[in-house]
Amino acid sequence: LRKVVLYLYIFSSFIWSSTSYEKLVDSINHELKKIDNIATTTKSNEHYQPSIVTVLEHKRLVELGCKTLLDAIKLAPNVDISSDNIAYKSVIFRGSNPTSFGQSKLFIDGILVNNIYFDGYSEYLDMPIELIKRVEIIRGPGNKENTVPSYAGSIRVITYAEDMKKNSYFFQTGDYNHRVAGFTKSFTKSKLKVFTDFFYKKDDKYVNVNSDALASGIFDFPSLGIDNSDLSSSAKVPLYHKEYSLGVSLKYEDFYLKSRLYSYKQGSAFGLNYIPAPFDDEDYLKTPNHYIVTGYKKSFEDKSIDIKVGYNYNALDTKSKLAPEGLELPSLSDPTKIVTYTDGVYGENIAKQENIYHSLTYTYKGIKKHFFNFEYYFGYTHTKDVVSKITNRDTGSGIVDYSDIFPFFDKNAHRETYIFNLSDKYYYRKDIQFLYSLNYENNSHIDPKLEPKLSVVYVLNEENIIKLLYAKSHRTPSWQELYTINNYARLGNPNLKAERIETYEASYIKHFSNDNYIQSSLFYIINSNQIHNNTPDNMYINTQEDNKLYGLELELKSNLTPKDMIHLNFSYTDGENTPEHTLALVSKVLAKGQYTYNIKENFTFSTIVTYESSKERLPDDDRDKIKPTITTDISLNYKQYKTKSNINLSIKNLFNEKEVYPSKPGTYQEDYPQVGRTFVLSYTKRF
Amino acid sequence: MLKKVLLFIFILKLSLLSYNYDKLLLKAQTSIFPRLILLDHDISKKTYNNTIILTLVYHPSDIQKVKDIQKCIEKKYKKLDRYKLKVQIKEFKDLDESIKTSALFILKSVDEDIKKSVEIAQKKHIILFSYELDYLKKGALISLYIEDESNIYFNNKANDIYKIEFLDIFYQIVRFKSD
Repeated sequence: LRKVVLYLYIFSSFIWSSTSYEKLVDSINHELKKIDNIATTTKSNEHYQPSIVTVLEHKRLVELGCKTLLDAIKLAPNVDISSDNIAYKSVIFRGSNPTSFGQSKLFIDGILVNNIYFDGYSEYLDMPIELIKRVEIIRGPGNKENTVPSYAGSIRVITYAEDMKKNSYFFQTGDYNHRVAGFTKSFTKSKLKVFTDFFYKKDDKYVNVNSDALASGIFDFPSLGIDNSDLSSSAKVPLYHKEYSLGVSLKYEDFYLKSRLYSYKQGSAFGLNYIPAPFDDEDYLKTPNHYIVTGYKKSFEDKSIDIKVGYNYNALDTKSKLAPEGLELPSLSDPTKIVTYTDGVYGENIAKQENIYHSLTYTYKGIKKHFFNFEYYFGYTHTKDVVSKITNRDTGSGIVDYSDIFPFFDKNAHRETYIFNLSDKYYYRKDIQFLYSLNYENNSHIDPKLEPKLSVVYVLNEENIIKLLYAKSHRTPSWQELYTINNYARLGNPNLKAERIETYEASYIKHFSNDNYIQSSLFYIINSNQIHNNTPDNMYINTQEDNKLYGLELELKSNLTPKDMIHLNFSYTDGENTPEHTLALVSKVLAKGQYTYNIKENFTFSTIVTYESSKERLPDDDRDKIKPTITTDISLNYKQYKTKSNINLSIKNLFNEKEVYPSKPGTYQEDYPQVGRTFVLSYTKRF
Repeated sequence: MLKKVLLFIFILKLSLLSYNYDKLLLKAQTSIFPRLILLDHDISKKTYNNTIILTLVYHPSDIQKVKDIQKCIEKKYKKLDRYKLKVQIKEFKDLDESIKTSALFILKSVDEDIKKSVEIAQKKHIILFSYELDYLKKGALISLYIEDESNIYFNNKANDIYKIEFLDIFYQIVRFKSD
């Protein structure tokens, strides 16, 4: 009996322990899966993703002295910035069409915020870094988010609403009366989670110009004997900002809501018609850009569903003095008659747009080695209101409402959009994965488009990774490009075709250790139907022939000594981006270096050095090419663990290098100068 | 003389500097490593009063980081199966064979420190976890690395010296990587 009991005891112990260890291994596998999900969501495993991604984390951005989203984006390889007469900035990927705003897309917490009017997102580039948890910058069209096809690149900003945890307040102060204040706050009550963030920002930035576009004869009418060039003068250009944003996110079980009120006001910069408003005038250019999305997201064992409805509201709202006293123009009703504006020309233009949409995303992992994703999107976009008020075009004095008879924008602009997308991530082997997808879009402005994407990621071993990517995509023309009317500076064209892109990319990544790697990428882009308005009447048109771009990108992240961090990237781009097959307005060579020296665990010194090679002019522009620049930023960062606070002092453009953005030919003879050296002191406290 | 002073200042500065760590990778490792200790077949012989002791070994510049890791593991694991868990911290320079520990988890440091830790773990036949996957080339036994998915790497060749017998189930969840 003893033997039997002993046997039973040993047997039962064995059974117990086997079960216990199986449970343990199950728990390890479960934990690993959780980490995988986080890594995929946060792009921590960026090198294994079927796209070429740069991920910038909050901590690193703060140490480097980045104060805005724009500062962060500038760090990415082969990314350049362009700006125009109203200081509306655009992010240029790989030298692709620098005069087009919508070739890159910006997503805030997964929501597209490119505004309808410009198809740009300049207002969001000013977002303070304190609200941003992470920035993911994807080069090429090989990424798709929320049924929005990307073009030359896309930027995903993830705020602290992602984990709904951070409580903090922050301040910034600097020269040009730069002031920022804001907070993040989370609340939890039972199953309801709420997260809010807020900031208010202002500055009084300005630059000086020696003359405006009148000197170039932009408003001369020789046939009538009108010569306004003598009215040109030097000016103090208003580049001030006043903005605030309130973000609210809610989560209740599987329901969610994301919303943001983003109010943005700036000076009218170099002038809506290339003549700056007087500095002390109350001129403004507002581009509010709000959104609200609500949805239901549920995950099952091998599938998930995400259904949502969303609403975007954005506008272009300007009010400024458009031209100086004494300007002469042909009369509106009788173009042979000359009207003299004795008090100058004043204008107020408003175009309000709305977009309402519904989308569904369904994922299915039920078939071994496959991860299917199906999405559809229906959207309706329209112009809600247009206001055009300007000094009387027949008498030259008094403000007249031209909204009905001579608006600056087509009141009836509207668009319906249908998008369907099917993709499959196929894990052929442990070391090889394919991602292939088909995207179909039809909207009331373009012919239906069916576009494929294909990528292969081959992991030779944990140190060596190879990626090959192919994609086709397009960009529907923006509202501005289609519907601007009765305007000197830009004229819409309702017959525009969508811009098209076809890319081939290859990337090789070599890891030296957990934090050290080198990534090299080659790209070849075929652009067609590129939209530009470098035309005599400033009307937007498509290019007739393809433009090809090719280049190389290198990234190195390494520790020079075991205790510091250096991040270098270099890119070379060549080819063509103009109808005349030249490469204009972009730097062929971009080299960016970031170095962080950990003086102590909580005290760092960082520097960012950026080199941009010279920029060629457009073919019909005989001005000298834009000179190369080297800018240096430095930053000191001190973190106090006990009080959970962080103090950062950063100096941008330490050596006061002259930075300019190219002006359009025939307007300003000079390029658009930028403010030089600036300093910002910031303080953040978590609670 | 000036050279000596500059060299001294440089060395002093280096000793004050701290290393960089990937937050998610550390989170993953601190979550997984303690559980792997239980897959050592002879773990019961390496406990102290029924307590598994995990020692975090660090460079002095990482004192804040190591304290955070210690707090994080202690918060997550009060117990490991039927054993209590104690997490202690030790500077590389203070590490020697007399240490009472069931496993070591080494953070970043210079080659000599890694070599010393490997020798001690091999002599004591205890698991040596490392933050750096690269340290497996220097003799560390187990690391975790985030690729497209997270993988636990096991230095099977080095285990000829460690002579640790793992439960069969252990081999189902690790990838082999020889130094």
